Amino acid sequence: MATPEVPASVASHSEINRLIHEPARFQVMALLYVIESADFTFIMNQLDLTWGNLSAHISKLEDGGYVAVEKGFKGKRPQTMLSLTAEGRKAFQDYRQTMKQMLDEIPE
Amino acid sequence: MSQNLDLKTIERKAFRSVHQDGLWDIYLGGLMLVLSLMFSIPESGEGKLTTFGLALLGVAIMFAIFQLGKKFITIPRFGQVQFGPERQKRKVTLWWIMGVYLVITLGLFLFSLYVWNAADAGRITMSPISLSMERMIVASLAALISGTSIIVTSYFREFVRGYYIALMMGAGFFFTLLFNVTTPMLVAGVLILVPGLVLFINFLRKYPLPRQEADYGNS
Repeated sequence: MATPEVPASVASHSEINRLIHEPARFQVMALLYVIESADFTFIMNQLDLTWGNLSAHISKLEDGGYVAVEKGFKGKRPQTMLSLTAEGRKAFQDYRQTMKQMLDEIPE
Repeated sequence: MSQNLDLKTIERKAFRSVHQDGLWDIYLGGLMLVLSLMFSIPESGEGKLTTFGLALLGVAIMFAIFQLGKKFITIPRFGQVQFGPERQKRKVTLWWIMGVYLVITLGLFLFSLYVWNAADAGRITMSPISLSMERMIVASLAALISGTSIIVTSYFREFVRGYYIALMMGAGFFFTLLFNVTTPMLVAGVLILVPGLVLFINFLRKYPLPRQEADYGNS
């Protein structure tokens, strides 16, 4: 029985960065990619995520070395500024490239 | 849609979202109302100085309301963001352009004062110009400066409602100075202020103050 030909890039889908591939984390990465930095509240409002949800995703991205977290105070209120690390920026660029390549090679 | 376009959209959406608190509208609408009050005070003798002082005080109060609103109401609810180098560059360019506007406005103001004082003292003889023509020139200049400065600001800050505000301000200045009545400026101020207040109330409803202890890593 003949099996349909699968493009090489699709076959290597294991190369997809799973840390970025999750939709909410992808949104966080994309937002931080186009701005310089933002606090937790801004990202939460932009992406319509809850505190708990965003907190969990940021923890993972921070552990992966993609997001830098800077804690401080704005007056009496705690303020957490988030930005992409150089590694995070590179990982996001690679992820975009991989996805683009894969999608381009899928037959019509 | 390409990936590049998507990222630009995300950035633009984030950039434009900072204007949804309505504070710019409240500030500019309030400014028009304050200036219309100034125009409603009769100009004579020492009253002129008082009027000018009151107008400056009103402008300062409106600016303080805008700054304090941003600091104590908008940022705690909406969060803070620093945009990329391209936006920073545009911000600096806008400051330079506004500087040029300020110099032109001050120059025109001082030039007018000099000409009027010199003419009163008989040091210069002005060519006969009708009062209506003089008013037309002053009204056109005021409308041009106020309107275009807001248009330029709106363009650089991608503040879409700014074009409407520019139109209202330009028309308000023009008709107030042309007909020497405060109503156009008052109406323009209200037409700018009211949508701003509606936006502000919607903003407060949409973005309640987050719980302080819920900050990331501090919960």
